[in-house]
Amino acid sequence: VTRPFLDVGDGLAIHRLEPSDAEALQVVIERNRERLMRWMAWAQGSTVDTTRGFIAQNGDGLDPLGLIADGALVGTIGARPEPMRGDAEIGYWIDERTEGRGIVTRACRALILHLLDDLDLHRVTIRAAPDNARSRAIAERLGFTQEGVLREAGWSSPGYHDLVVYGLLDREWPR
Amino acid sequence: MTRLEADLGGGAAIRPYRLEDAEPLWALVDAERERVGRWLAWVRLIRSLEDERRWLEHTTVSDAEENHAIVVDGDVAGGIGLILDPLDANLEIGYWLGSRFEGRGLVTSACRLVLSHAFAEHQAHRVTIAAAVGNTRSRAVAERLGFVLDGVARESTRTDDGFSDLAIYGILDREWNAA
Repeated sequence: VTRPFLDVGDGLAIHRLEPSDAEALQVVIERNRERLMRWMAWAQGSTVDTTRGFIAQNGDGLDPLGLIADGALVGTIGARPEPMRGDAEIGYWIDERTEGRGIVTRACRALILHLLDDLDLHRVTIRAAPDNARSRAIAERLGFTQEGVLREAGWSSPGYHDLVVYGLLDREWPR
Repeated sequence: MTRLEADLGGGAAIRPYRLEDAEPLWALVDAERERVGRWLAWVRLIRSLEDERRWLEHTTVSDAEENHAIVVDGDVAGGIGLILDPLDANLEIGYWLGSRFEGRGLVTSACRLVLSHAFAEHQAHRVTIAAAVGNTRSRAVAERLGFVLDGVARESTRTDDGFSDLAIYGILDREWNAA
């Protein structure tokens, strides 16, 4: 049901999701719920209905999009463009089973290129909790610059946490 | 959640925007376009009375933000708004004021009311203010209110001068309540 959106190459693609993809996505969320809950506010109360609602409210937007590796849905990636400011924030999570293969990093590259070149944005932002080492490593590997720490700006089931802000400017993106 | 209606003293007040504000608001925004547009991205989007009407039609019924007019002797003098957060974790305040109303502490007083409202009514954990780094008046308001500078997001807003760095300030509920 998912529709190809960006081909990343090497068996990896970013797809648009339909509300009917909620069941398949929820299977992946359920087996990752504990680890997602540590960082993401939505994970604690996530059900197939909230997941369907999240997909439905996206419409033609870019959050969430499906990560498809070798034909299987393994996580989501998303962007929230703010054309008025020329900025977009991106976010991502992936099934523990497919971690460590560079899938998120490669998908981020394709999405960032789309944001900078096709949507003509000037900047991309990533925010991650200070001890979310994997998420931060992705930002750093992609060449983002750490710009500050928003004190207790994030919430997840353990409580409030700081958010490290990373930014990348159009001219800094390697082409 | 209800928007605020409160007296700021000396003939000034804040109150929810009304659709009838379109003409005076447009007149003020257009007159202040160069000064305010130097720092705030939204000014470029308001190019006509019709744009102003459309924005008022949107914001007066929005569940995602609470925007208010700052009025002096009944005239629209500026605006102050609160961007909400479904989790009440991190709300954001934004404000602007016409030049002839500056220097009386109106924005600082209005911010105090909106901050109290954010922490008391919305149970906000944190409130953010983002200001262009060169916008010293705006930054002085945040600093006067006890906000802490958390970082500078490079070139993260677009103004009439091009892209501008944003100073990001935050204040936590326990810091506000202790002040």
